[in-house]
Amino acid sequence: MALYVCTGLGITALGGAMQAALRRAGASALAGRREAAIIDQTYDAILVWDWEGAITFWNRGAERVYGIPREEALGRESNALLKTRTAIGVAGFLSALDREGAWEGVLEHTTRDGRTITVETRMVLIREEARAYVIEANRDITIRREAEEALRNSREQLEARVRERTAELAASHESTRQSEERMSGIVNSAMDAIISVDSSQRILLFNAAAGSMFRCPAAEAMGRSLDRFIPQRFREQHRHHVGDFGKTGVTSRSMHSLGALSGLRADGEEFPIEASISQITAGGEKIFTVILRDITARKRAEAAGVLLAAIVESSFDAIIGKDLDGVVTSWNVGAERMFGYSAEEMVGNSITRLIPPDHIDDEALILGRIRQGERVEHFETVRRRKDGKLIDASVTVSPIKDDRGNVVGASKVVRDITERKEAEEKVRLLNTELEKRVVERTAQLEVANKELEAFSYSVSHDLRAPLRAVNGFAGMVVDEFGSQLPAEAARYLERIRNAAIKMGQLIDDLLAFSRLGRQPLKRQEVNMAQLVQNVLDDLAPERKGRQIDIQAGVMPDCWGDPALLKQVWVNLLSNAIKYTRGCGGALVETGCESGNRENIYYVRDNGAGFDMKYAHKLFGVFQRLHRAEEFEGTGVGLAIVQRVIHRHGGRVWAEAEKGRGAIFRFTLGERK
Amino acid sequence: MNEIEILLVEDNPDDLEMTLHALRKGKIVNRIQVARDGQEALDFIFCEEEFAGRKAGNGLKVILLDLKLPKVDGLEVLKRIKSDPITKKIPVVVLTSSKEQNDVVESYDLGTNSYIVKPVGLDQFVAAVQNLGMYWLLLNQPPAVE
Repeated sequence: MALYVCTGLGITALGGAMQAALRRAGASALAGRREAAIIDQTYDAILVWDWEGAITFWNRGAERVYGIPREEALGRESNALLKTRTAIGVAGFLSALDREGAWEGVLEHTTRDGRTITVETRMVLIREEARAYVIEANRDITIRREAEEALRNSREQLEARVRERTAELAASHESTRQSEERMSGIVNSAMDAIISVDSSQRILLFNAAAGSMFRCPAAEAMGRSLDRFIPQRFREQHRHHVGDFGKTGVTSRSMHSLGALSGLRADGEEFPIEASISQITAGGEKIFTVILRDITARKRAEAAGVLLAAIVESSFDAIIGKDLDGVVTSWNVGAERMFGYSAEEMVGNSITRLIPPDHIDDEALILGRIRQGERVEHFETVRRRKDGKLIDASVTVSPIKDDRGNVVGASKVVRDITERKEAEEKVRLLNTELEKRVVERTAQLEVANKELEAFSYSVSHDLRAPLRAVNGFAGMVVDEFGSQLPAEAARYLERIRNAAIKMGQLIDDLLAFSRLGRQPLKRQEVNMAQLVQNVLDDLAPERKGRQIDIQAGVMPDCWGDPALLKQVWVNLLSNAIKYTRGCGGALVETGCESGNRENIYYVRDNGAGFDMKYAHKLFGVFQRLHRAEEFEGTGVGLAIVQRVIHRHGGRVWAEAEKGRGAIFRFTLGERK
Repeated sequence: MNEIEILLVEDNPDDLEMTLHALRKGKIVNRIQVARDGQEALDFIFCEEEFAGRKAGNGLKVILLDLKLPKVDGLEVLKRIKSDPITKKIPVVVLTSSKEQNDVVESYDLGTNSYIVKPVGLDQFVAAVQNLGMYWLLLNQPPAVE
């Protein structure tokens, strides 16, 4: 029964025959030969031991597994012989056997040669009457275990490698990510605009530079058509270019060859660009990437450069480049015209062939200063043309510096100032001539003035002496011989004396008039009202016995020579007093009117007046509008007035009506 | 011996005669010495040449001096008189035809005691000469001369 139980435990390696044999062995100590042979042939170690432990059966399998012959094994205590070791201990599985009647598990045994082997065991406890024995079948699983171990190890290694690979992969991903970030950083920090589009021109990438170039944030550009950044008239053409490029299969090319390209900023401004294009195929989709550069500034610089070159070429000045050894490096048309040498003749040759021998030191001096980085401006010197003719030249030389500021040459602008020099020389000669003439004239004038002074002196002194004699002796005749003279003779003598006195007066007035032109003006603040009052006081003798209504109006101060102005008022007021003689209710009025920019002083009377048709003669020397019998006078007074007023920078004029008075007005120039 | 009290320096005979006429009319009878040019005037004043025997500075009460004179002109004569410590005390009256300011100013600068312009009218001329004679000969008190 118990055997079935054992069978029920599933010792599959044992066929039914073996089970029978075992049963019989248990029952009859495995006496049957056939069965014993079969058991012997199994690879498993099969042993039987009684409950006390002594081995009673030991098959060939056991001999092979443990290396212990049957003779040695029989009778031995099995667990001692095999040094049985197990997780639950020998006592553990013995009690399990005792309790359950069977046990299976894994044991470690030591072979005769000392190896440790692992066996899978099935034990069955058989109880028969007084005796009990255990059938133990062991399969050496050491190799399997080792294989399993190896397998486990290899799996672990594999797993480790998988982990490593995974880590590597992750690292690789990280590095890819970093690389992408780097790439994106580069793309975004690039100075050039970088734009990627798909085959339908939809924008996939729009870097920061593109944003600022087109004045459009990336967010607004992404996913949109590139068209919005291409001027309308170029859109179709651009599409063709990109399409053609796509077909070529060339990965990249410059768009330079496409000629002038234009971009369109979001705000509508068009600008010149330079572009290169590349294509890749990703996920079956063609992606075009353009790199754009805004060349507005460069175009402008180029234009300026062209303009400058044109200016240089069209300049009348010679514009010459030379190196620090004085060798000509450029030579414009102006230089050809000025010096007669062509560019071919001069470029590569020394500038010194333009310099006359007596000015050869110029060049060293100029180059010395250029080496110091200094400019030489408007250096005036002499240069020689190809035909030998010398020209006056104004030379301005500036150092040409390289990027690092080193002086590498000089640009020289030469202006032909021959004509200017000639003109200057003419002007100089003319000036010299003029100065000479001025000196001469001044000398002549001084002489004339001296002569005039001598003349005046002479007039005043010598002319008066005979007059005095005429008058004096005529008087003495009357004094000493008056009683003896006929009345007619006495009257003639009186006429002689009066004529002499009159002439004395003319001389005095003429001298006064001539002095006015010579003596300098001594200007100061003049209280006109006071001055007029003083004059009126001085003229009191002339008013003696006269009834004259004198009205002095408001009179602002002025800036002038008080002595000369006093003479003006004396002459005007004494005229007014004189010419109101014999008119009833004589009125003399003084005052001042405010003109635009000047004060207009006036003297008005209600006297004899004069006919305006003679007004032009009024201020001439010795000019009189009245007969001497009516009003005495020399005709110098108003001439003196006019001269004084003119010397003050003013004007004087008169209005009158015959028999109804006159008004004399004068100004002294603009108010201060 | 009567001392000379007036020295009249005048080259113009007409003026000389009129001056003398005026002095006579003014009853000025003091002794008058006439010099007809600047040199003669200086010789008299400084007692030289023909006046070497004269006693310097004695009794001369006024010198009437024309400016425009032959040989040495009036301003030079004036300068010499006023530069000498003794003669500078003698009153000098410039009596001239010139109204020129230069002459007036320079005369005063040189120390003239008076400046009179000869009037053209005889009456005025006579009046002027009489007045100056009256003033300088009678009213004016000259310093004592040793």
